[in-house]
Amino acid sequence: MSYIQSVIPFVPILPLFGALVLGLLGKRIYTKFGENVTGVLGCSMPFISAIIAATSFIAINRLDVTERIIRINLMNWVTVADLQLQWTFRYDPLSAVMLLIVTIIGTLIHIYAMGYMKGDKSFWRFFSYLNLFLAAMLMLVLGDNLIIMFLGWEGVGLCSYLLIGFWFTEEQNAIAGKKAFIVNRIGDLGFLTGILLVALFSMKLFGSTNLSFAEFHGNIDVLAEQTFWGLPLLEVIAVCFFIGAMGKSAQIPLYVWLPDAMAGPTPVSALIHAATMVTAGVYMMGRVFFLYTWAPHALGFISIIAALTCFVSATIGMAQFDIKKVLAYSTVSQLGYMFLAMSVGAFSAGIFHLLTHAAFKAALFMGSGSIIVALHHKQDMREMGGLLKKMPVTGYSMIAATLAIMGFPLTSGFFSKDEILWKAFIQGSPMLWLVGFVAAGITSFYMWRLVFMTFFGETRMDKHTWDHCQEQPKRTVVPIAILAVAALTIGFWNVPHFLGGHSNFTNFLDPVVHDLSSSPMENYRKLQLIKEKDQQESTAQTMKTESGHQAAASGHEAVVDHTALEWGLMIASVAWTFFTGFLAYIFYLRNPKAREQIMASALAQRVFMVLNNKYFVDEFYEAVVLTPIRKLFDFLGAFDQMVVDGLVNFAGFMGRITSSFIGIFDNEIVDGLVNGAGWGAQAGGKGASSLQSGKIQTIIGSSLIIFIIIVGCVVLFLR
Amino acid sequence: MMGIPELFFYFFTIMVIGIGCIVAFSKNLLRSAFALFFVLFGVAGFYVLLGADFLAIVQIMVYAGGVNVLLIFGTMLTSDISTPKTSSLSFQGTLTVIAGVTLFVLLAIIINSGNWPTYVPGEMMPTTKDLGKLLLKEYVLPFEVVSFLLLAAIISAVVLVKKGD
Amino acid sequence: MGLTGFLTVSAALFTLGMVIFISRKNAIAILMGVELLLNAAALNFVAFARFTPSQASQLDGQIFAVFIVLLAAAEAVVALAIALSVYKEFHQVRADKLVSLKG
Repeated sequence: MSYIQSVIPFVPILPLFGALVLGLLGKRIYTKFGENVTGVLGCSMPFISAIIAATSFIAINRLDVTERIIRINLMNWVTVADLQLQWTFRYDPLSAVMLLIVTIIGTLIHIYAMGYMKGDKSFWRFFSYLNLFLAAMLMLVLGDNLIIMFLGWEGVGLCSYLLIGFWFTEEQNAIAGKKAFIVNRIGDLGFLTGILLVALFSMKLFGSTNLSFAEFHGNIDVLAEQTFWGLPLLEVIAVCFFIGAMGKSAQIPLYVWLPDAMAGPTPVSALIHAATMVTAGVYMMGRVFFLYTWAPHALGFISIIAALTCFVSATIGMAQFDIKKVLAYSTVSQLGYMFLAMSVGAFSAGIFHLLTHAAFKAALFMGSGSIIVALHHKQDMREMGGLLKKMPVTGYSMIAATLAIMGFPLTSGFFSKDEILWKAFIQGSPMLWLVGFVAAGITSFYMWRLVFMTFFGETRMDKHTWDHCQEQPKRTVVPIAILAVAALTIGFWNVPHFLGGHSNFTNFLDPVVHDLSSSPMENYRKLQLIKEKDQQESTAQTMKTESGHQAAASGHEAVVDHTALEWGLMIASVAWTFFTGFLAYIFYLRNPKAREQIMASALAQRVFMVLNNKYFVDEFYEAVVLTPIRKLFDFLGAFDQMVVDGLVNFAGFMGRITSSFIGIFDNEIVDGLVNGAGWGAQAGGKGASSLQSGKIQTIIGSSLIIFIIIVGCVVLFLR
Repeated sequence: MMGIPELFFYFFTIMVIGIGCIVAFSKNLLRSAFALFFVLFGVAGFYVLLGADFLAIVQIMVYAGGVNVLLIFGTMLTSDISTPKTSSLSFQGTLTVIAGVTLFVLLAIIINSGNWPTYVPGEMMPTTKDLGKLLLKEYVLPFEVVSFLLLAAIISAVVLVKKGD
Repeated sequence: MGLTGFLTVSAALFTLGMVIFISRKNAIAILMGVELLLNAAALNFVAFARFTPSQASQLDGQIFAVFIVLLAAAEAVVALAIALSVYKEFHQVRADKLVSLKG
């Protein structure tokens, strides 16, 4: 039992334990020992997890490359006939990176939250939820099979809901929580469908399955031959998984919940809605990358969605005034970058951007939170300005993070974003690159706009707020500073070859995540070629297969020297981001008059209005999806009242009329029968109307009837 | 040629279904409760036929001795049994009976057409000892959880009933 | 008297429980329906256990049945306690009359 095997199970268990302790006894601890003890208790579990994660990371680096996939089997979970699920954790380079991100940023944000949530009466509840979130997220990351991953996936969704609506006494927050939850359900349905398809076909083809990633990977070329409703099975599964990612990672069209999720406390925005949970979709795609190498059409679809998301949300970000909303749209846009990288087969670049983004976006969110607290919960950037003097640590940290996100040379964002753009150009299409390129400029523009509006220039707030505004306590600003330093330096982990580095990060991930060496379509053709060759040669010789593999995999084209092109693209994007950053400087600091002049024109006004209203997407959903549903409800209600009740009353009335009418003529013979008819009509009316009564037995009865109809159809027609 | 086990099987079948109908359609709730006792007893008989001796005893002790007595007490405590005429077959009742019969027919079709593994069971062995070993070895976690659940049930029952006072 | 025979009886028990559960008005009668449903499930477990190929899994099925019996006991206790306190509050336990959540 190696060190890693013995400690890794504790990583998710400790925060879970913390969540239980704080959830059950938190109130007592809080009233008896006060805020500090509760906070330290809440921070300690993530802290220990972070230490374990860091030491395990060192340990895995010492191991030989081939031994870096470690599976830790805790116990059996479900063992029925052909489904053999196990509680197994998987520690490999990919989960090691994710563990580092989640536990370290999680710990920093816990510490930060002690300052942010000061004086809140549900202090303990907050820390209990945060711990629970960490437990679920770590389970998602460590899970060795799809079901455990899905468990964590749903867990983080639940915690997101709880934390967005943390201050649920205000209705707006509760609504935002519900919105996030429901939109995520739509995505989860896709994910679950994908998992069930995998399970279904694995059971059919191989007799039994444990749904683990290793097994899935091993079976992938058998599954590739299958079709589902006439479509290639793997393409269907790939799209289903991506729909799940769409919901969780806020891609068009399911991104609408993320900006609203900013209603939650800022530590939540930083931890869940910037650094960790929203990147779960990217992580999941990295985990099942082998599926996507077999699904080039799905990747094409993803690339379109990702590019659109990246561009659209960046433009919306330009026209927002709420500081957290700007950051929220920025997050959506950066997630678009990650999916762009995934969709052209540069999986490690996507994961690397996930890492750098987690650092700088968490720093930005925490900085904004620090400002918000200092200004007594004002979030409008039009009422800020000149804060650098008052809050130097926050200010410089945020500027550092902004440098990183814009891609200032040698900061982390520079390396990760440049890698993505390069891969999009060479393995995707120049169009994808162009969209990413333009969005990078827009990113730089709105981020500097944010910085200039809050930290520089004359202050625009009233005197009282200005006088009371001050730097936050150490426990708030130190984590921000740490993350800012990380945001500046972490990029050196993956210096590309043409800049003299060795792409260490990509190599580190290589045992579990292989990048594609050419565009997804070409790669797919190559895979098929290999397979055909295998089948042909398996009858002839086995020796040749080896060489056939290598020939098809590597030697299909001579390696072209792209260094000049790489340098060119890099310089172009750096110049472009500098330019837009400078534009922001002119418009928002140097010469606001110029901005006002431009804004005065009618076209600019209209564009601004569209952007400020987020392209009216919410209104669109309201009109196209929600209103018809509501109308349908109204209609059904009216139908029930008017038609059903009317019919019922009429039938009963007629029954009585007839019975009394006939009763006059023939009192003695048909009396009973007629009364029976009237009674039947009345009872029928009662029965029909009781369907709407909301009594549980009626509901169960009607679902039983529907169940019978479905089973009946299956038995009679579908066998 | 019908053997003794077959005879018992049909006897228990008639007993369970026939008396089950009394449980379902009797107007007197107390009669339903007493009829339930015989249904549960019949199920215990099936357990014996299936070689589950320990389970049959548990069934009789827990169900017939515990749950059923509780149900009878509950009936006596909550309803006016001196005037037993609560109608049990409303309009919904007839509909449910029709639905139930359809459901049963469907299930029977599925069961009788299913391709179950055909296996001739071996000799019946006493199971108590092995069950005990299993409960304390492989199934010790569920076993403890169930013990905890029973404790929680006892406490919550007391709390629920005491709450009004 | 093979497997299908036991399964059919269990299906009949299940249907009876379902009918009671939906059509009876008295909460305690509904509870009886639930007991029948649980018994049907347990009977299925034991029947399958008897007719599977290996001796070890025969006891697995019976263990499940044991747990079902225990759960049914716990459920009956709590449900009856609820029924009693409902009776204290409303002086009746008819499920069709108890439609408001707020007492």
